[in-house]
Amino acid sequence: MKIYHKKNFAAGIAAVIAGIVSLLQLVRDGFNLYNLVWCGMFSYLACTAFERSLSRELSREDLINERDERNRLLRMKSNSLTLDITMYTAAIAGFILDFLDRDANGPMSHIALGLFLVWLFAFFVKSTTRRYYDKHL
Amino acid sequence: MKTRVKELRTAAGLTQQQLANKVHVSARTIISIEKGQYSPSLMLAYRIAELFGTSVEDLCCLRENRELEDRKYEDLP
Repeated sequence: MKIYHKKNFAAGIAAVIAGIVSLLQLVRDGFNLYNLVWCGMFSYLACTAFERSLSRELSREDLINERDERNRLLRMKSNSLTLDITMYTAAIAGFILDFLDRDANGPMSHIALGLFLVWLFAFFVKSTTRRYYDKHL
Repeated sequence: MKTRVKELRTAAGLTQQQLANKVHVSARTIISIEKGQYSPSLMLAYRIAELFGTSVEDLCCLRENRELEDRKYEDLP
C-alpha cells in the first residue's frame, strides 16, 4: 500500500477522527439525526480521501490540479477578494450596529466592537503579509 | 492573449487533455489559453513551444500581442 498523496491521506485521518468523535457523541447522547448526519458525512469524506490518496491516477490528477498555475492564480484571487469582502462587510456592519444601538454599553455595541476588532486584525494581517511578499517575491 | 496553441494542437492531432498531460497542467488551463482568457507563464509557454517545435515568440504571437497592448497606452500623456 503506497501513499501517493500525503495531504489527502492526512485529510482522511482527520475525517476518521472527526467521525469517531461524532460516533461517540451519538452513543453518549442517544439517537440524534444531527450527529448521525455528521458521522455519515465524515465517513464519506474519509473513504474518498483514502481512495484518492492510495490511487496513483487519482493522486496524479489531484497533484496536477493543485500545482496548476491557473488554479493557483484562481485560489489567490478568490482568497484575496473573500478577505476584502469579509473585512469591509464586518466594518460596515459594525458601524451600522453601533449607530442603531442607542446605549453605548448595549449588546449591539459589543457586537460592533467585535466586528471592528475582526476588521482591525484582518487589516493588520493583510499589511504584514503584503510587506513580507514585497520583500520575498 | 492570443496564441497559436489551438492551431498547433489540432495540427499535431492532440486533444486538449493529451496536451495538458504532456505539459503537466489541467485541461481547463489549456482551454483558457486557447480561448485567450489566460496568459501562460513563461515556463508553460516554453514547454508548449518546445513540444510543438516552435519558439515562444511564434507560439504566443508576441509581436501581434505587443502591438495590441501598445494601442492601450496610446492615450497616455
